[in-house]
Amino acid sequence: MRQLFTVLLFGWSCLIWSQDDFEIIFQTANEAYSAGDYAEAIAGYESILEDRMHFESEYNLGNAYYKMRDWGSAILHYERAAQLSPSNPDVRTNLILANAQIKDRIESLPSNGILDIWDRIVAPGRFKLWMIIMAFGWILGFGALAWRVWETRLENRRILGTSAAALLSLGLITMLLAWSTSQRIESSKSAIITVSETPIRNEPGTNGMTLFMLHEGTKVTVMERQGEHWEVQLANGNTGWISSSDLTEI
Amino acid sequence: MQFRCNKSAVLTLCFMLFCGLAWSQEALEVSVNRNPVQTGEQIQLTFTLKNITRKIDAPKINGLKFLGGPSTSNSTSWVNGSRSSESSYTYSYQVTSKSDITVPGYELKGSQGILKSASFIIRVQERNQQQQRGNKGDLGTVACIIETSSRNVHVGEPIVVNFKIFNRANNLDVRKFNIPETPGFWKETVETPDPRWEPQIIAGKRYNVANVRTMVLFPQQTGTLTIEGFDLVGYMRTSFFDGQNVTASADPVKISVSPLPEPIPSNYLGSFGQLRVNAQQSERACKTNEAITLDLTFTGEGNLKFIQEPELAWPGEFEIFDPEVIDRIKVTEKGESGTRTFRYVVIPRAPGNYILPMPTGKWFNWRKEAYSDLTSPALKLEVTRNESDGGGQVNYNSKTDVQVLNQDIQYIHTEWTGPCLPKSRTNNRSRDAAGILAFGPMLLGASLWLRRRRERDQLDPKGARKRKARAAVRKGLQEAKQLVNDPSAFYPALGAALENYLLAKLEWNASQLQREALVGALQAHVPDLHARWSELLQALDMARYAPGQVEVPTSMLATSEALINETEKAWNA
Repeated sequence: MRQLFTVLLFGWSCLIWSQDDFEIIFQTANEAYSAGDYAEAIAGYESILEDRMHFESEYNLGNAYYKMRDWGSAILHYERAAQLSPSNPDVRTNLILANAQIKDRIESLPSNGILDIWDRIVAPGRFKLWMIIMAFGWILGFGALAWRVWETRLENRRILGTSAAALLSLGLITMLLAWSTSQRIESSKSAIITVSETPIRNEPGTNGMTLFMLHEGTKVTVMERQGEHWEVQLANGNTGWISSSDLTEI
Repeated sequence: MQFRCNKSAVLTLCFMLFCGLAWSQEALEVSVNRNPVQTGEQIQLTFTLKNITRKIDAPKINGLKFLGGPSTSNSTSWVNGSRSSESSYTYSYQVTSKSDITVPGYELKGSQGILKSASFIIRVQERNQQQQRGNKGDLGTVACIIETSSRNVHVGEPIVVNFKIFNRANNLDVRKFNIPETPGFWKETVETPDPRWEPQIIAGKRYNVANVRTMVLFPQQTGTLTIEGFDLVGYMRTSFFDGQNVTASADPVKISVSPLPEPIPSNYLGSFGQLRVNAQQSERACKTNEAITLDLTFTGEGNLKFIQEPELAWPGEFEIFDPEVIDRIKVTEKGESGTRTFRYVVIPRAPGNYILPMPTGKWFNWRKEAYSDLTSPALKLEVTRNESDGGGQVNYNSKTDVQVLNQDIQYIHTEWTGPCLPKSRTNNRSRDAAGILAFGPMLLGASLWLRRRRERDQLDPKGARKRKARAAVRKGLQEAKQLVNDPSAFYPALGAALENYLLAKLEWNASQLQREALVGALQAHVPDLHARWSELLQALDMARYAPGQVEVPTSMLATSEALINETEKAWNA
């Protein structure tokens, strides 16, 4: 036990130390941004995000790229920030402004009723919510059953049994939702076009017919990967193959 | 009485009738009511069938646009036993060609063979080549005339236009007339009673004249504007049974519209024959937050409806409501005149002496062909504090919509708040879910295990005591072992562990623990070992109070463990 505690304390100390270190870099990058030195700010934020995930750094990096008029990179980092904090109003505002700067205007497919509602339920941003509700229902449900084992009064046993059934049902339903959301996350990776212009072809490789051209900043969904060529789908339903070097996954 | 018929006389009469009918010649004629014509004029083509009955459809003729018809008439007459009939089909066309139009000959199959009308040419003249009939020297029987008050005006200067029908016949039935559209003009129609014929002598001839419409036109664009298309369709009765269609078209009237003299003032108000403004306030003095009205009345000649709400620089302490626009404008044969009043409701919010703003600007006087200033005397308003407001001044701030001048992204987040976790920790969804899922059943399993153990202990109290004693001595010996290097703490700890063990085995309370009773109980349960227990307990007592006289802690710990093991075996047996 003492050894375990020592290991945990050491790990926490390392974490605290590194967080402080990153915070210094973060503040330095913020100062560079405020001074208008966006290139230095970008270098600072990217050093933090090299092997870590941090909402404020992603958001600020998007801002720095926006100021550099690098719309594709700005949208990429705003989208990443939105994945970390989907409801943050600043991210949504800046994302709208950045998307207004890009060249491609793509109309989304019209809503298709129940499927559209299901898509909203299992949207990637909902995974954390479903996990929390599942943990709540699952643990409290089994906790009620565990308590019921020790309860001797019949009335209390009945209440605990009913509560456990309800909570476990809630846990099972949200477990399915969390699983569906996880599948959605795994299956539909989004990406941002990071080159000024790229052709979308009808087959992998460079010999296929060019179906249409996409421009920097456009968001696509990656459907399939074949080596260096990925099949992508636009919001309007159009699909095609693109070179993987022309886009970056969110 | 017997009627006697002379057969030969009857036959003679029939022969004569037959011959009379046979002698009536069939014919087809085509005629036009006007030749030469002008482009845009309406003409009528009449197909006359003599002694034959056929239906004539309107033919297509190059250069003519079919408008309507047919208008038909039939007549039959007997002359000296000879029957003759005549049918006419009249179609209306509009001349669309600027060159002469050839009306081809038409063929019709009659009882006596093929009937063919003669071909003829309709001469088309340019409008300016035809004699202008504005002098009314030769109006013909029926004429349409567009009379204008002026043909050379400036932009915005009104023209009074009368659309008149001149008619020498008393029996003209006006069936339809078209009042033309007036592109390029703002049009105001003069409300007049129903038109009626009034006699008028023109060039020594008596005409019946009807003014069918009067309009006041305000030219809105420069250049030559044309008023055309005043056409008439009527029916003139020539006898009790007969008559003919008549048409007439007015000559187009060209209006030359001149631009306003340059430079046009920036505060130009419009083009008027006369314009002035009067201001009238309901109160010369009032209290704060009391409403007064200010009437700005524009009076003049011209299109007063063009006067827009003046831009006034109101004091900032005034609350102004949108003005009510009151028009008293008359449109008569002389033109348009009247007043337009802007009635403002003004609420001063702060005390003071104010000068009410008056409209200013320049207007074009078409009579003088020059710009005139619009001026009006300034009005004053004295506003005193309203004590009924509780003695305090009501702060008034006029509010306007905030105009977005620029858009930019939200600023960076300067606070380090969120977690900064390695990316490797972010893809553990399955592990997190498995942990949550496993925790619940583990909790239930632990609960069931504890419950079952408790039930087992209740069924086997002896075994429960044994386990309790074992747990107690195991815990005590473990603690003592950790204190083996500290004899002053070791011996009390070991003594306490052994005492707790024996209390658990004997199910005694701590108050029952006395050395004599303990030795007696051990002799009863483990007669072979009670002497060794007594020796060990005595050695521990010695060690607590005389540490130098006993064996070392490690050997005493080993002795204790061995004795406990032997006691367990002997006690069970």
